[in-house]
Amino acid sequence: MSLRLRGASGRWAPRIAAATLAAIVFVAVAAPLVAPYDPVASGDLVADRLQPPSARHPLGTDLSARDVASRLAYGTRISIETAALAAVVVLVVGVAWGGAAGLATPAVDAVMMRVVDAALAMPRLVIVLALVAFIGRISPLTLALVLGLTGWPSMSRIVRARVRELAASDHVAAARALGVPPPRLLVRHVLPGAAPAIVVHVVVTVAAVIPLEAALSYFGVGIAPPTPSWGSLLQDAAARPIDGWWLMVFPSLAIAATLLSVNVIGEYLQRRDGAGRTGRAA
Amino acid sequence: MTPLLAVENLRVAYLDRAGARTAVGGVSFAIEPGEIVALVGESGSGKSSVGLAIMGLLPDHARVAPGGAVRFEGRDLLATPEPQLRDIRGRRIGMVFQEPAAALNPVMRVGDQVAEVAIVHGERSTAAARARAVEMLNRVGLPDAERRYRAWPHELSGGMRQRVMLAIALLLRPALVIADEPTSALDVTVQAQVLRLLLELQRESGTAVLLITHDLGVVAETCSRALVMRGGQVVESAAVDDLFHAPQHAYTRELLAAMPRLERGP
Repeated sequence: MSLRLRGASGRWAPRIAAATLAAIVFVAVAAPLVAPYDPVASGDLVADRLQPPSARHPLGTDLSARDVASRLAYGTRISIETAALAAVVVLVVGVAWGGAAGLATPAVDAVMMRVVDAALAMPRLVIVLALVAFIGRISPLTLALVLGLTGWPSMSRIVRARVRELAASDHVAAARALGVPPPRLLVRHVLPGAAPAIVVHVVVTVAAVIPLEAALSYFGVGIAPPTPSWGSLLQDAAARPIDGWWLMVFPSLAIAATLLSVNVIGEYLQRRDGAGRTGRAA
Repeated sequence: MTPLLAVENLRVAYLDRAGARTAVGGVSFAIEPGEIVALVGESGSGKSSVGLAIMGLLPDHARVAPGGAVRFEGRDLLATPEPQLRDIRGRRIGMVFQEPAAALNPVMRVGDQVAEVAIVHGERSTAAARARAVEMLNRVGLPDAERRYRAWPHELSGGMRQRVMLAIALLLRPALVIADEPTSALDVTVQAQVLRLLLELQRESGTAVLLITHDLGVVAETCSRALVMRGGQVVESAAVDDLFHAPQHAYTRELLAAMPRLERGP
């Protein structure tokens, strides 16, 4: 999934994306303040059911007479939290595993990388579905852990490659020559050089986890109702796609805006990193 | 007097697809405390491998053959486990690399890289380590050391970077400094400055130096004794004066003849 914006938009696209993402994260953090109503409490089931957007309900109401704006705000919170936590798990496990393999002896490195190959060989969706089926109804926290624990192998592969490359560099040899022990070597001399690649992959992870959560929840195997998430909101919307268009449109816009922003930022970071590296070599 | 460093029958081979390629084929020499010894040879003669083998920093695909020894301050470094070697590296043996631009961490301030040696070797107070680093940067003649402490490596010139490397190598007053082509990446004028500085620091601290180089001009200016290496063997070992005036080995004569000179022949 890659989106290219070139030319004049190249300078502004990352700023707009960052502002959009900041707004979405703000809504997620400040959901209780932003949401006008309780996201799971029904209103008057007769008068307030499936109402189009109005002054009282800016994004309308759903089939259970709940305020869509409030559910979207809380859904944003759940989806963003899930993606962020999954990304943190990917970051911690992936960097630790990849970093250790990168500095390990060739034999240990080979074993550790075969584990990664095996993990990557299994289709992620199938693993997630199997785990979810095994666990049953799952909380956002569990889903985040499942998504994180199935996502770290690709991160570890990237980190390991970068660590290998950097470990062979002169300044790491120089650090070893002055007696720097391996843990400090990794943290102070190797990982800072790998940071740009790691940051880019965290962004890619977020961009992969958000639609995955939405899809799982949409199909009813992710975050369970009545807890709102972007996916479960879409599941609610699926029942009334025409006469309840607002149920579908607003969560979809939130997902699209988030993914677009994340990808633009990811692309920007990658481009800047590339420019920085050739610049330093010159 | 027991020598500071005694290398005995050191043999190093690199493994590749074709098998093992010998880089160092049974090298023996000794260095007395405070002595400056040159290890001379063309590229591929195995001289850098000797330096790395002493430090225990040979790459993964290198093998040191059994039967040899590297005795330093009463122990065989080849038989010393890695944690103790780490304690010796940087504290008892310093190392200066050829390319200061590549040997400094590009994303760490130069002062912190000097202070790190002290921290790694037991200095608990960051402030004390910084103070020592600033003092050392002053001693290696980095102008405005206080402010340059916060500089990034790319902000310094090649000569200044090599001064920083010398500061790192000599901060803890090691008994031995291994300098692998320390001036080869520098401009000729800067080369002379850095060499002079190395000699000054050597005299002040009484450190022994193993100077690995292909440059006989550098050897003549700095060293008391020279070992000439070729094809993994030491072919000649002599005091520098003798080496230049009465080279014993044909290869040494060839090397000397290859030095550029200003005067023309008749």
